[in-house]
Amino acid sequence: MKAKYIVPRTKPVLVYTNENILADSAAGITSSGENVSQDSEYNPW
Amino acid sequence: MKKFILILAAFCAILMTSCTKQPAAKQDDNAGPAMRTVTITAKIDEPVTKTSYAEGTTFSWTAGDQISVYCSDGNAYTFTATSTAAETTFTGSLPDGVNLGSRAFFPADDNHNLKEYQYSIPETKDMTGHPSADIPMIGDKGEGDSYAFKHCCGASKLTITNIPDKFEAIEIAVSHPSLKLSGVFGVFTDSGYWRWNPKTASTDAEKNFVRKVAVVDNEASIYIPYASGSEWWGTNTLAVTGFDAANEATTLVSDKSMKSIGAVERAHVKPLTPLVLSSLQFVDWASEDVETSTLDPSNSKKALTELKVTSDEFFMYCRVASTVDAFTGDFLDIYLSDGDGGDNYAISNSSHYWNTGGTVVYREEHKGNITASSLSMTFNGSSIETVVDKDGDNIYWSMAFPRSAHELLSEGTVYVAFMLWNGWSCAGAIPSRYTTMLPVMLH
Repeated sequence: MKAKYIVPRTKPVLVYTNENILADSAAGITSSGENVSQDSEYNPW
Repeated sequence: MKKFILILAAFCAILMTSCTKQPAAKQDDNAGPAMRTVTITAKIDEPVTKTSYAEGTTFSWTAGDQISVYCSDGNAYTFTATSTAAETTFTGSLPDGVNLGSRAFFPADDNHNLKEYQYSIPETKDMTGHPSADIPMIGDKGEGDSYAFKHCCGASKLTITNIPDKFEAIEIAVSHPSLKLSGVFGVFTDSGYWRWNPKTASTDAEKNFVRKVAVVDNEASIYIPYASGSEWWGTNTLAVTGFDAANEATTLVSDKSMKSIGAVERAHVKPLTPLVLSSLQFVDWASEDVETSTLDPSNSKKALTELKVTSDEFFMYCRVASTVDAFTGDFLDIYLSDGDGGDNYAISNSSHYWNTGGTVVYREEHKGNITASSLSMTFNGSSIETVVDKDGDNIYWSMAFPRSAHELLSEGTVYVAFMLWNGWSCAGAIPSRYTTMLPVMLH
């Protein structure tokens, strides 16, 4: 029996791999919140 | 043994799919690689900027927003937001065998290339089909199928308000004499996220940032991305073009100076004081809503013939009419009063102030060629937009008084009068052309 009959193509693939993705490190991206806020209004006119 | 392994693999595959939160995938009946629908979730931990135009400081994706997800085959695939919310699901199609990668990017246009660490801000973009702040963000894949996004840069928010009713869209063009507002920028995943390289524009196109957006409730905004920690110095130039239902273009603002924006921080939005447009060139002077005083010349010479005044939330608009041969072109005085002088005119020869029963709280005198296409006038320190139209023998002076410039125009009734001087050589400098004081209830 071939694999393609065992795992139907219509099913989502849930094995996420990091192959062939960006080479740079993901260390700089974190999910921690940052101190961000909308700045006060600035008048350029 | 081989058969056992295959059975084990099948069992594992079934187990994995049964644990997923993903919806069942779709089979693509067309030729080519079989595609499946994949749903992911995306959120942002920086709640300030947003893709939606709604007011407030809470981030929200807008239904229809599109992100690009870099996947295991080296390609980026487009996923579309299914709802308007701070955290929502995005759906897209992936070929069988292609897996979600670790990076995603917003917006999902053709201008990002994370493999080269680049994003190219387009010089012009029509955003009338889908309003969005369009501030670039980079997403990092977390647990399962979720991505968390962070802003690549900061942005200023430029709002144009009091846009005349006839315009359904406007195009806002900002340009700088040397700094780079569009073009290719570096996108990184370290603390900088976004870098100028270089900071100075190398082409004229890179000095421009032009966005066409829909007008909602007489208002429209654009977000202008700018590198974090960079100084946006110097004088910018602004132009605004309006588009009506037939997409006919009308210049609303041309070559208006905009001061230095200053420092822009990543993940911050710097809201600029909205620019309020006047509707001077679009006032329907024939409307019944316009207060009108038809004037009777007070002497044998032709004089001011008509005064019309109306207002909107931000401006009081006046138009006074005369005939071209009624004067030699000299002085035009405008009086705004809190009281009605009625017909009790009394002009002082020496000071040429209007002496009436009311208190004149503002008087502006324009000296020079009053038949020029516009007049240089100020109202309590604010410049007055003026238009001078000629139609045959008739001449019309129109002007927009910013209501914020004087408390007299904040609410209630204001009395308006105009006086035309016909030259100092005329009858001992007694002005012979003046209007009655027209009471105007401000809208």
